[in-house]
This record gives sequence, C-alpha cells and structure tokens, in this order.
Amino acid sequence: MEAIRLEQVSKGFTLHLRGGIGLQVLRDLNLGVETGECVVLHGASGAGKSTILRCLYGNYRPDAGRVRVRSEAGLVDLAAASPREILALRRTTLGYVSQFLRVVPRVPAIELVMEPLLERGVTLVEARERSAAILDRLDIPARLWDLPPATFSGGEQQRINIARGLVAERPILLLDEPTAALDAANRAAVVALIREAKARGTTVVGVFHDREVREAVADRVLALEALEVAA
Amino acid sequence: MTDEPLLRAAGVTKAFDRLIACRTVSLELWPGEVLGIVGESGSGKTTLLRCLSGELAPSTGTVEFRTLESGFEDVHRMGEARRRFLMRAQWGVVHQNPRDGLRMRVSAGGNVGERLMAGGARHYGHIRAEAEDWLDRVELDRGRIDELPTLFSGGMQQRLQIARILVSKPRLVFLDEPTGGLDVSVQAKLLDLLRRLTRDLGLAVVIVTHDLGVARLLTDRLMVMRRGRVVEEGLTDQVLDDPHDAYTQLLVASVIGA
Repeated sequence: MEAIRLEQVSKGFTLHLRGGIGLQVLRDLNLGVETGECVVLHGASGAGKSTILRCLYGNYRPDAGRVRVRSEAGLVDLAAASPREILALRRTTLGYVSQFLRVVPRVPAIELVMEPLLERGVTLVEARERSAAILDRLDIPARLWDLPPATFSGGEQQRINIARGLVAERPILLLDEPTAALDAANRAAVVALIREAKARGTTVVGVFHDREVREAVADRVLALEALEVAA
Repeated sequence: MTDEPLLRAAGVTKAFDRLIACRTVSLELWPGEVLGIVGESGSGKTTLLRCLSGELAPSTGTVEFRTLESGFEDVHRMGEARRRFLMRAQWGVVHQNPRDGLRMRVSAGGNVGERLMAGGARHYGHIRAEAEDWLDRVELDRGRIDELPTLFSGGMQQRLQIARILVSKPRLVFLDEPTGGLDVSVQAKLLDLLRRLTRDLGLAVVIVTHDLGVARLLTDRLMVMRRGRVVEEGLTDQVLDDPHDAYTQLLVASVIGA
C-alpha cells in the first residue's frame, strides 16, 4: 500500500524582487513510496531534494499536481488541503526534521522534545519519559535537558531537532540531512533510530549526503537532476 | 478539534471618511488556533483587529462570535451590555499601550483579581493566591503585588496587562503588538507562555504584529496586509518560506533571521 504519491508535481518560484525571474525546480514529478519503505533523494544542490520534502510537509505550495499522503482518514492531497488540515496531518502523520532548529528562545531542550507528544494528547509524565529516553539515545547529557538549546553546539542542536522529529513516532518521516553536523557515533545512533522506525512500519523520505548513512537506511535511491533555469 | 469556528468575519470593510482602512476581509478562527496579522504601519491591521474585537463597528460586513450560550452572535448587532459582558467573560483584548488595558489607580494584584471577581470569585485568599500565581507566570515579583502599576516599567505593565486578561481564562484573545516595548528576554518568555496557553486551554488568538520572528514562533496562520487589503494568507511557514506575493517577498527579505 502506498503511503505517499506525488502526481505530476511542478514547483517553481517567481522572484519578484529580482525583476520577476522564474526558477523552475520540479516539473511533472511522479513518485510513489510504499508504506514502510525508505526512499533517499539524491542529486546536486538545486536538484529539488529539499523542495520535495517541503511539498510533502505542506510547507511549499506546488504550482500543479497532487501531493497525496496516507493519514488515518485515507489519502489526503496536501496541495489542496486547508491550513487546519495540514496542521492536523503534521500532528498525527508527518514528522519532519529540518536542517536547523528554530524554536521559541528560553524553552528547555526537553520541553521542546515533549511538545509534539503533548500536542497529540500524551500525558506530561509519559511525554517526559519518552523524551528523556530519546535524548539519552542521542547522547545528550542529562545536565543539558533543562537548558534552552540556544547555547548548545551545532551537533547538539541538530540532535534536539532529530529527537523532536522522531519522538512522536508518526507514520511518515521526512528527513532533510539530519546527520550533517554529527560525528560517527551520533550518526550511528540516528541510523539505529531510523531503522527502528522502519521496523515499526514508518515510511521515510530523506536526504543524506553521507554515503554510509544512505546505504544503511535506503531501500531505494531516487536520482534527481536540476532543471534548467526558465526565463 | 471542533467543527465550527469560534470567530467568523465576512466582508469586513472600515472606512474613515474617504480613507478605506481595511477592505472586504473575511476569516475564520478555530479554538486553539493562533492567527497573525502582519503588515507595515498604516496597512490597516490594527483597524481590522479592532473591528474583530468589537471595539470598532465596521462600515460593512459582519463579525460573529460563537458564544457558549447561544451559538453565533453578531458582535456589532448585539446590545452594548451583552458585548461588554462577552468581552469580560469570554474574550480579552491586550492593548498595545498597557495603560489602555490596566486600571492605573488599582494595585497590581487588584488589576488581576478584579477580573476573577467579575467572574464570580469571592474568597479573598483564593483571589490573592491566584493573582500571585499569575504574577509568577508573567515573571513579575509577587512582592510588588500591592504596588500601583504606575510604579512599574513599560515592560512590567505589559506583563501585568497580559496576566489581567489571561487570569479569567478567556476563549479568545486579541493582542495588538504585545511584545513591542519589551526586552527580548521577556518577549521570549511571553511567547512561550502564550503558546502553552493556546495548547492547554484551547485558546484562540488573533495577534497583530510587525515582527515576523514573533509571527513565525507564535502563529499557525498568517494574513499579510497592505493598504487595507489582505495580499496573502496561509499557514505561517508557507507564507514565510514560500511567499508568492511581491509585497510578502519584500517583507520576508527585509528581516534578519525570521
């Protein structure tokens, strides 16, 4: 059964501040991802890897085509969904790990990780336990848990971001270079978490520059090529 | 999640003589949802907010609020007494200038306790304890509970105003540039507080701000206004990360780190 289906998806950007230049990133893209499958997007920068992930998260609005994801209520087209429907899908179905942590300042790291659980109605006690467990696996020392991550190292911030994206065990995971700033041991911890998610039946679409990580998690690699710049 | 919005506006237009401050704005707001209205000074965002919050009657169009007792009621067609009651009991307005929202001759604790008393609370000890709790939550020293707000700094007054509004647990809150005069650190604390309250109480919020960073962290949806019109709207991250309108692109390109 497919968890994700992109049909004839096109996405471009019109840069009004640059005299209205058009930049076409995706054209008539078709992609199906089976439930439990891990598809890795691969290609030079500008090929549209992040754009695909952002369309799948409802962050970018495609110009044409359908972006269908499987939720509890069946297949939903993100390109046609209302803001409320997209927010609901993000709570229940779509986990996304971006390249940077962007959060309210002064909130302790563990509370940032608990947030997606609390949004889904998990109790405070359980949310704290589950968050502590994943932070521990990602080797974030307990003395940092109650501090806001603004002063953390890049690698630590990225691991908080990963914990936030994975803790709620949503059925579809979108990962945009989650291991970029990590050392070998932490990369291995992330790979283990992704494999466990797959074993639970989680569908994964990701971008991983690191070849080892790619080979450790990918069921299929989709090679993308940059389109020429349209006038 | 409820199937009906809490607030519903249709075709709201407000003209001052020949100047049209906001033009045919329609929106729906659900419980637990935070809607941001952004735009430069003079774009009509505060006028729209005042029409939505019942303070200013629109020239044309309707604003309806779903009350606990009788479903949707037209905010501008109900009687003055009814509107005042609802404003006190079911929604709250946090003013840009705290002096407009506080009673300056009543103590800090009195400002917070007053709304509890208006809601029926009578036990002095309970009221005081709750007022103290709210001073803590907005990081005001509870030792200053008996002081007049005139002795507070602008930032402290703003925090007191927010405590005064939130203590009665409204269903809908309107905020006009609430973090404008605050230190960055206090601003962050308030953002966090407002986010928790929307989640825990299912509070719906309309917030006017010119700060796209605040909008990014606090709001679910965004409306971008220019010259009285809504030029773009959508999920906040969509509007900020993938702005389609030329003016929105300019706004986003003009700020650092939003």
